Amino acid sequence: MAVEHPMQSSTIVDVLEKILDKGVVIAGDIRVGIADVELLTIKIRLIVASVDKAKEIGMDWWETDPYLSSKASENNTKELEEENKKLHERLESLESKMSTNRLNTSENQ
Amino acid sequence: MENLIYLYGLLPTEEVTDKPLPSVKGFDGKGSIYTVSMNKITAVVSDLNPADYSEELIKDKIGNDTEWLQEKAFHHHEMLTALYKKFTIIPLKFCTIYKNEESMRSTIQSSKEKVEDSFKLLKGNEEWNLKIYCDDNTLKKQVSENNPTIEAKKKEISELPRGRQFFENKKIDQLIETELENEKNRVCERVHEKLKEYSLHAAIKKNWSKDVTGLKENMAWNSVFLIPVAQVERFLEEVYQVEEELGESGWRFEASGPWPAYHFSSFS
Repeated sequence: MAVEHPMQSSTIVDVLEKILDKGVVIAGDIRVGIADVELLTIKIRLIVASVDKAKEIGMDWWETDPYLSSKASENNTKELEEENKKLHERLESLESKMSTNRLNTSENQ
Repeated sequence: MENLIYLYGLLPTEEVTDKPLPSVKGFDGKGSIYTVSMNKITAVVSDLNPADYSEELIKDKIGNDTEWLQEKAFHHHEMLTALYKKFTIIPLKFCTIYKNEESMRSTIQSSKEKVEDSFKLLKGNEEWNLKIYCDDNTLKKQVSENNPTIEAKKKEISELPRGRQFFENKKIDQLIETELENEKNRVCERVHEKLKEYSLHAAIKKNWSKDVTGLKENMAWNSVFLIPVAQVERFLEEVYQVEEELGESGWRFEASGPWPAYHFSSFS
């Protein structure tokens, strides 16, 4: 198939999009709402933006998971570092724009 | 104090009886996962120490400890993926936690019919995701050269006095932007409608920004399909053909799956 994953980060986004945003809701006793999937995804992508970092913390399982990584291409470390830097700047500006408690969790039912 | 119970997902009991669960560590990384059966429904759970996983602590971690969130979120997904490979599974939302087994049992009991309906819906079907990306610059070039609306406008401008041409040409950029968006929607909708033919259900999701995806291209479309196993091959073949047809003009089609049915098992 010519369907490619240009970077592992796209699969990270896929995973987070699904588990933080979706999944069946059967009310638990402990209510934990995720208010801003977008911002959390950006934050998480930042910390796994570097493959080395991912390996270091043992989160490189998707490299061998046929479901997720079939086409993870070679990563260019320098490019990633540059991207990481840019994202940090963007994240900072995003965060400063947000009200202090955007990530607050949902209330008890 | 009683242990809390972390619920990962629900399986049909009949499938669990003849296949063992994978032996893996639970949410706290110490205890193992285990099952709790309620007639036709079996829950996959792990224990949590209430002192370490109070509502306040979890809220705090989610808000302030990105590494923790990432590790646990991936743990949740990894567990469901492992279970998905062996069973029909309804994946629960991240961090669904009960005070004790009794409480979990009674909550699940009250959604019994919906759970059993979901098992029926999911069995033999797979959830696939399609993301369509588009290089706006490449496409914009084509739109500005080949779009009939723009062509007509350009002709109109060329017949105007020179002074007015300058201002009208500025406006045309705006027109190109609009036509670009129209063209993107047209292509995506056409592809979506075509792919829908292979699926039982389809849904359109929100597009993520470049900040989120970390890609250079814009996400133009994001959709999920529930596809009978026998149709998956044809669905992918269709995606491949569309890519062949449009790949040159700045489009990229990314199908991923099968996923635990995060989308299609949803009920409220």
